[in-house]
Amino acid sequence: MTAAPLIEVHSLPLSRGKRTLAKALSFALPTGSFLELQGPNGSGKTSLLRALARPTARLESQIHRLNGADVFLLGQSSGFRPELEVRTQLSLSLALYGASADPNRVELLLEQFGLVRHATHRVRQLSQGQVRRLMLAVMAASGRTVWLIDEPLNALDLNAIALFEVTLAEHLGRGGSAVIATHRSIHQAMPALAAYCAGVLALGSPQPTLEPLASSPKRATRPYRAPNPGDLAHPLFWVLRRERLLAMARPQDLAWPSVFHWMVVTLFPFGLGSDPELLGRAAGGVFWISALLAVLIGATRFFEADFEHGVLDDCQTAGLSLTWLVTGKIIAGSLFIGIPLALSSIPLALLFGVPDRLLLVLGGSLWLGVLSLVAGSCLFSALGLMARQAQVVICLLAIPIFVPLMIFGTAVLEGDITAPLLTLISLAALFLLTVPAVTARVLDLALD
Amino acid sequence: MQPQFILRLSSPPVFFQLTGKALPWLINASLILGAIGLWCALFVTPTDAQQGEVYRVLYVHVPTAWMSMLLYVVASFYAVLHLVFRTSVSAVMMRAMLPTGAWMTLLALVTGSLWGKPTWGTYWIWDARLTFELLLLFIYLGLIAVASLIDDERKTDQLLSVFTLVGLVNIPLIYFSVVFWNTLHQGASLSMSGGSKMAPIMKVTLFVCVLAMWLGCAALAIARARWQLVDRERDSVWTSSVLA
Repeated sequence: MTAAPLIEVHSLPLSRGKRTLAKALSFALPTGSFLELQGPNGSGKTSLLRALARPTARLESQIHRLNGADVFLLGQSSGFRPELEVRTQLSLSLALYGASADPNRVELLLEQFGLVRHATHRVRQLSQGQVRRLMLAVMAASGRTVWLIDEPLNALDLNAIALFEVTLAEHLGRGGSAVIATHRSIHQAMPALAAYCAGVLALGSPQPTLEPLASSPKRATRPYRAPNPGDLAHPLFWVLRRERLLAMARPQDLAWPSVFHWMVVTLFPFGLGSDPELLGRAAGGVFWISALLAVLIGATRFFEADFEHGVLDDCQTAGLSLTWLVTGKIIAGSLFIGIPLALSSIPLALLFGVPDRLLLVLGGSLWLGVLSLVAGSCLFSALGLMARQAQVVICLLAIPIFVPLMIFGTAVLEGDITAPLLTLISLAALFLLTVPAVTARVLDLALD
Repeated sequence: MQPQFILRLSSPPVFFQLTGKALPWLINASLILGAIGLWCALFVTPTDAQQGEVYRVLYVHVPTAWMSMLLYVVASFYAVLHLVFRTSVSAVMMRAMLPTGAWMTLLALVTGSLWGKPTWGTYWIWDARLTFELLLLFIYLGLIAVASLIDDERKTDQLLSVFTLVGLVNIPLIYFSVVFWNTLHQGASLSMSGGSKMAPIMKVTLFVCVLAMWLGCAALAIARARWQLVDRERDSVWTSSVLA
């Protein structure tokens, strides 16, 4: 009896940019075994793994996931943020894949993968091999059925290779399967795995073929059992939790936008003169322009780090919708940038001679404004990911979008309060409802 | 037959052939109408009672200002087409609108301020409508910049479509804020009350000028679109037979 396949690929074209690497790949990945991908540099091993992990709309009809298969991609980027503690990062990554992340489980994994001494270190302090070990730990506990592994032996010492061998054998024995891209023969490095090998797929020719091994594995089929299933929280909670942990990892960053805001506002009396009446009239415009600059100056950071460290890729592989990710980022921005900025504006407004009764209104409207400003900058910083040489300039393209905000924001201080405030609220709602979907679309293109 | 014809237009060779036949007509019509319009504007129409000779700038200003906004709407239309159907013809048409639109906006701003100096006594005023037009120029320039910054053509097409539509959302928002803004900032604003009191010959001349500008912009955009289409499809069979 042959094993039921988890993934079937039918005449999949493989290309990088406009160059065709392979015309039509076809193979099936059976339960309880792994496929070895071989081929020289540039033959499309990584491209194939990425396509299997995240089939784009064009390839969806060629790649079929069967029997409830879900995937984990162990690629070249870690998916970890360097400023987080190792223990925190592990727990976050497990939660992303819907695996149980209770503290005992996390400790056990750290011990198993030899990272227990580094549990409270930051990811930045780990060596390359240790980062790979942490990635292996996430993979081992992810509960995903199909592991897509790119060059597993890179940077691993002999102990870690043995560990990888045991982990993978256990996974395959449990009814999972894997695709492993490698330069070195798996059979030599890890003989214990030979029994699970379903074949070698050699890339590098226009028409690659799968060579099944002579002693192809015949295993009883049984459904995959995840090692430690956890509860999958709503994606928004995961994103917000992660943003909170990131903010706590660098608390000083919370202060910078407000400090910047104070400094810009302080410049205006030098430029405009110290006439209290003039400053009082200019206050609305001054505060809004300064808040806009304070948000824009950090706008390139919204996605850049997550993009570079492969967090966005991991979210896509894990099935976390990028729309929720962006929504979470905007909400986090309104809390971590908006609240300090709004609060710090209140004493500053007092110095500018804004009437007492308007202080809270100014703070509240600025908070609403920062929410919209963060949303608009999100959209354009996602665009900036595709034009890295001009990332800062691209964020400036957001400015025309902010003009309505500026008009209604400054109007709050100049007469009737209700109408402009209601407009600001509806603008913020409009931004919050539309920007995430559009930004997710742009991020999709950037990741493609 | 009608829907099939429109569908066939989205095929690059068909588009290229048909526009190749239409283009000389468009250019000639726009040049002839433009000549008639300018001649009428300069020599036939009477001098304005209030503004004197300088009002004749409006025969250029009004068509350009109108085109600057219309071209953006047309670009947005092609952006929607591209997002839905992903054809290269819609992408090049959208891209072709942007530079023409930017030039029209610039012309509208320049002619407007040339008219403003003798009439208002100043080249520029931070009136809502002027500021709005300046902002439109920034949006055009931003989109053109985006088109040139990203290497991958297919991605750029989709991104431009998305961001053209984002900019379109901005236009009515700014437009409605005009009312709001004016109540706060008292000051001179362009009064359109003269429109109904115009002499018939003035109206006809203005209409001819607008039509000429309309055809001229269409010709420019189509010529640019054809050029881009051949460039991006240079590896396919039809381009080599067309260019040979």
